Amino acid sequence: MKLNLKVNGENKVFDIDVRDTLMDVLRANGYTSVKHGCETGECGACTVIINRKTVNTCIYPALKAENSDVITCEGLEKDGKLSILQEKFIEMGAIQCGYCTPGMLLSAHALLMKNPNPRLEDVKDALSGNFCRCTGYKKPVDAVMAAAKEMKGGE
Amino acid sequence: MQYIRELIKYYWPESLEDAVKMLMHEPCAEIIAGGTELLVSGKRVSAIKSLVDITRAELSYVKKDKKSIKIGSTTTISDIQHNPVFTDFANGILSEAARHFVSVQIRNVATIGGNLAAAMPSSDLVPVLMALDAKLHVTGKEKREFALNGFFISKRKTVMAPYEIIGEVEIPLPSPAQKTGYSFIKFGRTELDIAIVNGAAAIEIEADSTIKEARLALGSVASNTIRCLEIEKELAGKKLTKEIIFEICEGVSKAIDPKSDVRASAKYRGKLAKVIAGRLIEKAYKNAGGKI
Repeated sequence: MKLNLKVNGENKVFDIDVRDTLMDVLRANGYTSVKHGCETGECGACTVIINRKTVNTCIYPALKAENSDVITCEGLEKDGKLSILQEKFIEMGAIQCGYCTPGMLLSAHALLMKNPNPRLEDVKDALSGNFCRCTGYKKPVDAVMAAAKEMKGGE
Repeated sequence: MQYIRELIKYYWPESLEDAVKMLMHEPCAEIIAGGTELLVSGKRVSAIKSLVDITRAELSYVKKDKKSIKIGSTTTISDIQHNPVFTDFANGILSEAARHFVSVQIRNVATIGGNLAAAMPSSDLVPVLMALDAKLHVTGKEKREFALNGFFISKRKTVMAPYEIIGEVEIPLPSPAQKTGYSFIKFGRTELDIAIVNGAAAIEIEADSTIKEARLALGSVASNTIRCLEIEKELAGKKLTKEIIFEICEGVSKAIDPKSDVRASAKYRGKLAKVIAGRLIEKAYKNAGGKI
């Protein structure tokens, strides 16, 4: 069967199996920033943004996403240039092995879309569904706060 | 979907009635809303051949009238968390329980009806809805109404038939003259972890601070969330002091049947349940305007 999606602004039609999760479909079609982690909706490595809301795609039937607007980590950069959020993650050492990073970036991106002026608690809450098993959460949280500050300055 | 490998058909009924028909007539059919419980249910769901998705059946809404607040069963936990109707209602306990619900990604998808139908004894929403005296509107061969007390039989088991679907959760509004206070406590390792013990209370007092009516619900302390009816009876007619609360809460051990798991031992849960019950009663009483 077919699945119609808009991924990172582009209209796409994918061939899918009724049993596929959205993670299966995205990964099979080259969006490998969507990481295969726990497969039980706990770790957040497979997070994408669907219609402005973050979702764990490993437990999301692909068919549910029909006609929706999906953002993956591939969609954060523009014309080969990383987003401010991505730059801040690098600058502030918020990445170690990198496996959780795409999910963290998307959780943070969804927060900043909705709330460009987040409090520290808002950032912690937004990242609460993204597990990091390397180093911790302080640097990612700081990076999101710094990105929010810079993005506001830039406007 | 790693556990649902026999799936052949995926349906999108546009009404509850159509969904019920599909559940009755399609082979090995199961209902799905957010799917955050179903897709992690392991071997229990391996026989499913058809899924009936009710998230396009016009069941996502929050409506408030003079008598009650009605919540459509596929309303997501995020929608409840951010709906201003719940910010001030009942000391904000429903908003608070929604805010503590797992993670943003799960809240964006998981639904109130799904959480109830999943019938997990650790649900944070169930004790809150019990304290709010919510009732459920269920559709099957006919329409039925259920009080939450008695709806759960045991872990993952409710009184509903396999083809019955929760359509709406209705929370009655107390009259403006009533002095009622509410409380919610979730006790766990972290704010978002599954609760070791959780609970909620509602206490209505008279002008002289005597308790008129009390509701106390505790979760994670038995095979399903429980109403502590004996405690509620004890509370009625009393003015509270710390000593009275302590004494009454000793009776909690008779109401519960705690189990050991990775999060806590049964013994610890038993002791904790008394403390949490006491804190819930005290907080709800103070929120109603009672002085201790």
